Amino acid sequence: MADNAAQRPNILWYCTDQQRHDTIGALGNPHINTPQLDAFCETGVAFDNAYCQSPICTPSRASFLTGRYPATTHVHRNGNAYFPAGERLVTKIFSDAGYDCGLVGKLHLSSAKGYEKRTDDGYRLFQWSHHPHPDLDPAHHAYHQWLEKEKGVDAADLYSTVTGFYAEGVPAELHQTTWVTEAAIRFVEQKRSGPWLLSLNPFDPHPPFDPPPDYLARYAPGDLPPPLFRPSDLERQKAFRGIAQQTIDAMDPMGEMPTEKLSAEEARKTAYSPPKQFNGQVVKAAYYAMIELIDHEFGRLLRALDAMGELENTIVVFHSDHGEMLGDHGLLYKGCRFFEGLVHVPLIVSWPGHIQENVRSRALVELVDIAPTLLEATGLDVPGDMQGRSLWPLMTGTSDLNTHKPHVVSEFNDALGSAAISAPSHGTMYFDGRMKHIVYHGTDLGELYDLKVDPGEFENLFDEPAVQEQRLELMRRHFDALMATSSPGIERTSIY
Amino acid sequence: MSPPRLCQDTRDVRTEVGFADAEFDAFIEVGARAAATEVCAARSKPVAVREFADMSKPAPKNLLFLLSDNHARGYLGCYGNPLARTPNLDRLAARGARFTNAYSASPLCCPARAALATGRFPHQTGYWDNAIPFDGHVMSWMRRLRDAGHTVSSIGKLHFRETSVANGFSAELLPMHILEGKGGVHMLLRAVDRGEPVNAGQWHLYMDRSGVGTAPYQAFDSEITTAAIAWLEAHANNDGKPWVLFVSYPSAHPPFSVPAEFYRESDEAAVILPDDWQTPHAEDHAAIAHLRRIMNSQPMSAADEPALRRVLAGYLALTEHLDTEIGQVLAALEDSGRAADTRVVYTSDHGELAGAHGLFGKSCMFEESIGVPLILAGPDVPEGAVIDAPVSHVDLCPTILEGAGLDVDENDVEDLAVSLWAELKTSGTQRAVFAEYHAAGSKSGSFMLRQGHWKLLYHVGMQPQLFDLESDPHELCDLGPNHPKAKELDRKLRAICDPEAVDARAKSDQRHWIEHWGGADRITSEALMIYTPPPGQPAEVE
Repeated sequence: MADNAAQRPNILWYCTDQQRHDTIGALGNPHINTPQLDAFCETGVAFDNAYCQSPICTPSRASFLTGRYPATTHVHRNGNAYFPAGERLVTKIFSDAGYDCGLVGKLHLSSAKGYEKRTDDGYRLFQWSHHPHPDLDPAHHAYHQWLEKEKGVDAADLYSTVTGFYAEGVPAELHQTTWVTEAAIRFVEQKRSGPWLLSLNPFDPHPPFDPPPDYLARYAPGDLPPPLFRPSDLERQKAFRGIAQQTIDAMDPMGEMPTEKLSAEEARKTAYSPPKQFNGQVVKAAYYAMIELIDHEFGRLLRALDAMGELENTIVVFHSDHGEMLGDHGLLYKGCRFFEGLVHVPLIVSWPGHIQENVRSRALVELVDIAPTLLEATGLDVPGDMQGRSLWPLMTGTSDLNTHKPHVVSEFNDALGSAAISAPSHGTMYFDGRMKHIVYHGTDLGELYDLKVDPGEFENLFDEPAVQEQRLELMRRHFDALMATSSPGIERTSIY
Repeated sequence: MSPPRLCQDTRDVRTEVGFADAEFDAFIEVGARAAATEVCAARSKPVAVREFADMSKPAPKNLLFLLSDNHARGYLGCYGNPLARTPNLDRLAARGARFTNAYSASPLCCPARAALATGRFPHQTGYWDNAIPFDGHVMSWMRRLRDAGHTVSSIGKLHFRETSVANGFSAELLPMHILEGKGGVHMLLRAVDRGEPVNAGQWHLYMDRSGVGTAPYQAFDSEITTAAIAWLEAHANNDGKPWVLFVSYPSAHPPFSVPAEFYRESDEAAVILPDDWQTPHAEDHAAIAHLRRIMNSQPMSAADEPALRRVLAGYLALTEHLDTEIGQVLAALEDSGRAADTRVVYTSDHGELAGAHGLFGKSCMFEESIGVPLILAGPDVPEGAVIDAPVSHVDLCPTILEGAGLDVDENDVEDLAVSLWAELKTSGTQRAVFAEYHAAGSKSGSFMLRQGHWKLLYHVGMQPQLFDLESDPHELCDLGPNHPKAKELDRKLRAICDPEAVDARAKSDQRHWIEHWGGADRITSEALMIYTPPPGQPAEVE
């Protein structure tokens, strides 16, 4: 244990699953009700331009938990057999430095079918619940054990009432999101001599879209803006039919909601396979309601920590691993695509008295930057093989709040397996804050958007003759940026 | 009429009163059980357990954990068996503390080892049987020590799901896990209507294969010993970092086919057969009747006596072989110069019925099956202490973590595990010790609660049993559920867990894994493994 471990701040690291950037009231969405997150934003730095390193769970999480890009971790796929032993999680570094580390919720660094093999993750508390549904090894499903032991509820019975990708979900008091807060409070309450780090990874607002009934009732779908969609999207998306995405054929996002009731087994599968028709406003209402429950529980947790006197010396990070199409361009869920809804995520950091409060940073930042930020904030060395760049100078005001990186990248390297896709997809994105350049490697497909004039990403300029000279320059920068995500590897000790 | 066997307490007399072998044998020949018990009673209470932990000395840094498989308490010299040839373990017990009433948490390899690693019982972890073994999801004491900066190496049999950094070791050498990450899937079928299939080979494994011969485990034992000696030579003095070496032998698991150098034909005549080796099976408790059927246990008659004597002689020979291997590792520890700051633990995952009640193997709550030897030695352990208070394998987790000076909280230890340092200090408490079983050969969950000399066995859906181990050490007389003590222990058991709910949860988890492996039909169609092979060897199947 480091000598001065006891003085280091605690770390509360709250990462939701599949939450888009535009889902926090105070950050510009008047349609969603997030009073707790709004108040939280006032206590720290909100990053308006944070991007995930992959639009898919496992590569994204492996990246921000190691501070290294997927090209370096080699963790590209959901469902991969194991997490490479040579990769070091930042939670392990904290554990070695004397932190008492806990995890509640999902981890998803390797296949979570049945159960997830643990790696040398540094977590002493490991309350695993990949998703709330009852198809996981029951012995490993901490949320279900809580339901059974403390709530007297049979998880299979409870979830048998959720009958589709859109449904009234389990009551808030039995919800996985609620359990996350309960387990977190219990962990923090324990006596310890050093600091703690707590990773809280609820499954929501990942589909199925099944908020508690009373939360669902708070949103009138007709009052919500419809998804970003033009009829031309249906034709435009046909070219991407061979690209791995969960919605294979774009749909009119203002269609009818499916009426059929699914079995519990079929409903569970809707977590990863979207419906053939949907109404974007209805889906958005449920999605917002799920986030409102997260908001409520996140706020409840912060108040509980405050009451325990644990908040004043705690760095709190809130973000998501990737986004959700939510009907934009006729697509639901995720895949090898790089629309704003999918790769642009919320990221808010607070540590009152130590970093700036109630500010918003326009800097381009990446989730890979979180790990080195936390190390620098706690006074620990950032390993030389960590690729992210600390946000500490921005947050503390020692560098310009709005300047960090010239570009951000994201990639999909066969990240999703799908029976519907014949060949694996490989796509990469380069975004410089205005131009977003996307290449689907091994195909003729690409996308190029000028977000300054086309923030909705409707006008794909990739094949426009007039921009080819500019695109060549973007292609070169894109190529350079990708090359930089691959670690130079082992240090040189001699000239040959 | 077979000669009376020694009561548990009598066995302890030999080492405690320092009988020479001949004297002891003569003492036994008198057959004065009552007198022996009296001596026992007189000796067992005042055994002066010195105040634990001489605080003037620095706490030992290292731990050598020696684990065997299937070694019943009754098959060590220091536990009072005059025929056992276990001089190395006897010496270890003489320089440390010996627990005369230590229990496996769940008497089968995988659930016992999961409990040993986690300090938690199956109902607290969900590691129920040999198809749902420890996999690193729940914190192990090994991982806690590794995360605290100790080098924690294993050599030999672990019987976890697979090699994984999550198991908790810095390195797993010669690891033996369940076969192909899948294990004994047939026992999962206890959770569905068709039930667990009969393991026809079990009976023949004992009755037809005991004696002079070879078995794959013994060569593996030797590899483990060689690796352990090499490890101690290479690492015992490394950079001052504290270390744990977990050396785990597959012996004395059947088959009892042993080299001639260990097998003594004279043992065949000398072994004392269990009182009830010919028990009429009609008198069986329903749980035992079921176990007998699944393990293909045949009724034994006088014609079977020679074969049974070979089983017991083979078992004695195999435990001698095991002791010889362990002796080499203990000598290597001495040679390393680190014995003065290293604690040593010896125990076994579970016992062996060895013909008691006409049964072989384990998988039930009889003392021979669930009782284990437990020896704790080291510079801060009182020499020659004998602790009669019941203790459990789960106690080793808090014992080891506390011994290493770690802060221990509810994430590390739950209520049912108690640090043995406290037991050593107080010369044993009167707490009730729990165990449970939900695996091969059991139709429904069985639970044990042992307090003092009383032992309640609760079988879901069946008649509970109560034994008074003082007057009936071989559990021949079931006092039944109406005994006041049975009622008292039943209340205490229900304060620990709801047996019916735990049974339902075990079966629900087992059904989950049946589906995981393709369903009951698929499992039924697969060959039934008789025992887990050592690494690289094919499985023996029916």
